[in-house]
Amino acid sequence: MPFLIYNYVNQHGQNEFNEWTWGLEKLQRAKLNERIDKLAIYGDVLYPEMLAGTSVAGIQKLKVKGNVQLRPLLCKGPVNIQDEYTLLMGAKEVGSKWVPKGAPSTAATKKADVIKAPTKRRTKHERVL
Amino acid sequence: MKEFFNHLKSDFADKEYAHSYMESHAVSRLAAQIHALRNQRGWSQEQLAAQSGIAQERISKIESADFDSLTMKTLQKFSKAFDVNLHIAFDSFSCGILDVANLNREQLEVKSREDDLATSFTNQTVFVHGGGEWRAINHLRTVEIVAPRQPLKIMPSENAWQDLELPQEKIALHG
Repeated sequence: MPFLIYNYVNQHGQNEFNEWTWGLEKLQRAKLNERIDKLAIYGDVLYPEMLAGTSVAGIQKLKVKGNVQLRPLLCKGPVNIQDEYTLLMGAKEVGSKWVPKGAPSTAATKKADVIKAPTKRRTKHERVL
Repeated sequence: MKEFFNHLKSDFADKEYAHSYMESHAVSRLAAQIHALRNQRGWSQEQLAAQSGIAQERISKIESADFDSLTMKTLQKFSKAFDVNLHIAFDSFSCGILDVANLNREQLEVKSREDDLATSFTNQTVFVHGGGEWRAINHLRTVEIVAPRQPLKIMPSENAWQDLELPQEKIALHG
């Protein structure tokens, strides 16, 4: 794949993004995988509608259409801006509110963790099963 | 990419999963194509709204892949506004998987009717039937075949190629 996708890892070594996906229904996982596959194949060029900014600079949301508005939060890079993305956390938008509350700010903190120790605080994305 | 194909082949063993994945692909592909066609023509969403009779807010939602349903009538309005053919067909999942992987900007952009007919079907266009389908060929090339200087040797295998010593000036392509 032309773009590498990483998942954030917390200080205890847990892949929080993967754990978030365990609570998703099968149809949601299918739609989420479709978006992550597109991100890995095309980045944000061919499908400009997939990614949108948030209230926090440098944090984007991956838009997954469904009954529940899944909005995993991610950033470009942050190590190699050209060809990688890091999924920072799982989130949803209910109405215009974030679940969990303040998710983009939390994601920014996680991004800072990755920048400080990229080899320890992220791991290659595993396909959502 | 091989890993991607293997994943989808395995994931798509589940019917509900396969349909959900491809529904999401169809929505985002359509959104991307409407966005690409509009940009190709240098139109704003407001201009497309004026051309199609579809409200700008609705176009914005469609381009953001933020819609659940789209009627045939709406698709026909887009088709008429962009002046392109609307092609709707059922397909196999293997074709769908390849479409996910192979999409590019050129596939999304489509010439308008007048440009297309002027360039695709010209006076020089030759229509050829082969392999069960018709094709339009615009750049027919003929090859002048020249005889070798020496008689051909019999090759041990039918599949083996035999190098011929031909003078370069005798090999000509006519475009």
